[in-house]
Amino acid sequence: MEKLYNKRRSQHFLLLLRYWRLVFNDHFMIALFVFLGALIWGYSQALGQLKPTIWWAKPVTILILLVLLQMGRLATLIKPADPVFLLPQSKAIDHYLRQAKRYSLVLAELSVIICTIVVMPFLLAATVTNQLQVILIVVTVGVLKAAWMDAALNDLYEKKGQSATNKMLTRWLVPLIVLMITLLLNAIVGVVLAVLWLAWGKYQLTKINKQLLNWRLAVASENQRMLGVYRFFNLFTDVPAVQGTIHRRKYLDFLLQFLNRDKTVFSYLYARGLIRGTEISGLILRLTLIGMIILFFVPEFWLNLILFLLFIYLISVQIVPFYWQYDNYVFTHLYPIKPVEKRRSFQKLMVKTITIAATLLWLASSVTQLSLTAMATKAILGGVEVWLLCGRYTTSRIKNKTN
Amino acid sequence: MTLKVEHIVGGYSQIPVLNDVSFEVNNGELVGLIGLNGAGKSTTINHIIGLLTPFTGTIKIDGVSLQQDSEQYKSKIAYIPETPVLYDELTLREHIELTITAYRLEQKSAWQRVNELLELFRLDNKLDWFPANFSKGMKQKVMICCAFMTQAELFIIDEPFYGLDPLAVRDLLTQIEAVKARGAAVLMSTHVLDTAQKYCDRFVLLANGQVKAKGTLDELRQLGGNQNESLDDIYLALAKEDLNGKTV
Repeated sequence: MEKLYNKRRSQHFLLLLRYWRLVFNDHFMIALFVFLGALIWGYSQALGQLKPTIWWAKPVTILILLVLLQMGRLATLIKPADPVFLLPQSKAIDHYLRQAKRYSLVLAELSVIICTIVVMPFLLAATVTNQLQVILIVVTVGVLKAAWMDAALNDLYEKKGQSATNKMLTRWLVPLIVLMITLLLNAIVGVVLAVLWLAWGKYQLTKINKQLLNWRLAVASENQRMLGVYRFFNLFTDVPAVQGTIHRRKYLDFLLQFLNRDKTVFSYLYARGLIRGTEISGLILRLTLIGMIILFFVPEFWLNLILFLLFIYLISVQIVPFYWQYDNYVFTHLYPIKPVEKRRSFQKLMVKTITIAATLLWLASSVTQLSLTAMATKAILGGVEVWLLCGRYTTSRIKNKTN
Repeated sequence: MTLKVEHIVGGYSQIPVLNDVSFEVNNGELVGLIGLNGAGKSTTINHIIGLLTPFTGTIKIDGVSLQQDSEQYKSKIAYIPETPVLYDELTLREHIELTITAYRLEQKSAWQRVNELLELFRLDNKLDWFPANFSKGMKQKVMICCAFMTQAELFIIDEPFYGLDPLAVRDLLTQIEAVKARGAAVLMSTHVLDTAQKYCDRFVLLANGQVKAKGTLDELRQLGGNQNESLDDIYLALAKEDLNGKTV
C-alpha cells in the first residue's frame, strides 16, 4: 500500500506539472502578472492610509483566516475503481490514508501559513498588535490546519449521526471560536486551545482502525477535490475532465430567448449550454465579478483603463474553447447545415455575452470615476476591443485549430 | 431512394480497415449488416454518415455524394448510433425542437409524428426531463424517436437492440416496417441474428473489412450449399473461416 500511494503521488505530480507547464506557457501569464502587480501595489497603498485602531479590522481578519483555513484539502488520490479492487485491503488502506494525510498537510500548511503572513501587515497597520502576538497567531493558524486535516481524514470513516453538522463543527465553528479567542482575548490562550483541539483530534484518529472506511464518500470527496483542481487549470487551458453539472435555471429563460434570437441549430445549442452548464457560465461570472470588484477599488485612471481592457480580453479568451464544446456529439456533424453557420452562431453569442460582461465592468469602473471623458474613453476603447475579439480574433483562432 | 457503396477502401488512419466494400440498399428494403466484433460494421457506417472519408471508392445516396452536395446528402439520412448520444443541457422536448430546426421540418406535422412515437415508447410524460435522468434504454428510445420523426429516406441503425426491452424491440421493428412501406431504405447492423433473419430482406456479411457474402437468405444458403441453414449457422461458419484465416 505504501508503494501504491507513492506511485500515485508521483503520477499526480506529473499530471499537475503538465498542467502547470501549460499555464506558464500561456501568453495570458503576462496578464496575470500585471494583475498581481496591481494587487500588491494596491495593497501596499491601502496599508499606508490605515491608522489604528479600526474597529472592523479584527473581525475581518478573523473571517479571512477562517476562510484561509479551508485551503488545501485532503488529497487521498483514491480512484473510483478502488472500492472494487482494493476491497480485500480495507484494513491496509488506513496506512495509505495516513500517508496521504501527511503529504497533504505539508502542502496545505505551506500555503495557509504564507497567506496568513500576507494578511498580518494589515493587522499590524490597522490595530494595536505586537510582533509576539503576530507570531502566536501564525502558530495558531498552523495548528488549527493540522487539526482540520485530521478531522477531514476522520470524516471519511463510517459513523453514526449527522456528518454534515459534524463537518460544520470541526471545520468552521471550532476554528472560528479559537481564532476569536486568539485575536480578541489572548493569543497565548488561543495557542493552548488550538493544541488541545489538535490533541483531541489525534485521540479520535486512534479509534479509526476499529471503524470502516466509507468508500462511497471517499471516492466522492476525492472526485470533488480533483474537479476543483481541474477547474482551476481550466481557467488557463482546456481540461478534458471538466464537465460540470447541469441546472435547469428556468428563471433565466428570458436570456435563452435573447441568445437564441436567430433560431439556428447552433445558437439553440450554445445558448442552452452556456446558461445551463456550470463551467463556462461560472467562469464568465467569476471573472466579471472579480473584475468589477477590482475596477471599483482602483482609482488611478490609466491603471483602471488597462485593467478594464484586460478583463474583457481575459473573458473573451476563456469563451472561445466553448466553440468546440459539441464536437464530440456525432449529430452535430450529421445535421444538414453549412459549416459557416456554426461559426456565425458562435460569434453572435459571443458578442452578446461579452457585451453584457463589458457593460458591467464599465459600470463598476465608472462608479468612482464619474468624469465624462473617462467614461467615454473606456466605452469607445472597450467597444472596439469587443468588436476585434469577437470578430477577427475568434475567426483566426477557430481557423487555426480547425486546420 | 438508393444507397450505393462502391469499392470503398477506408479506415481511421493510414491503415485501411475496409477493403473494397461494395453493396447497395434499395427503396423499401431492410438490409442487415452482419459481422463479428471488429469486422468493420461501424467503420462502414461511419463512412456512410460522413464521419470518415474513404481513401478510394464512392458512396452515393440517390446519385449524390457527400462531396457534391453535403447538405442534400445529410438531409436524407437519419442515424441511430450504437451508444445513445444526447446533449446533457437539453431536455427531451428541446432535443425534438433541435431536430426540427436542424432538418427544417414543418412544426405541426413533426410534433404530431413525434407525439405518436413518444407515446409508443412511453416517453410522452418525460418531455421536460434531462438525459441525466434517463436509463440507457430510455436514451436509446429518445434516439429512435428523434430519428423516426424526420422524413429521412435512408435510416442507418447501428446495433439497435442492446438495452431495449422486448416491447420496445417489437415497436422499433414496427417502425422500421412502416418507413419501409413508405419507400425508405434501412441499413441495420446487428448481432441479434434470429431477429435479423426474420426481418431483413437482404444481408451483407462482413469479415476482416471485406464483404464475404451478400444477398437474400436463400441466396446465402445456396452459397453454403445447405437449404435449411439458419442465418446463425451461416454466420458461425463464416466466423470459423475467419478465425482459421487469422491463426494461419
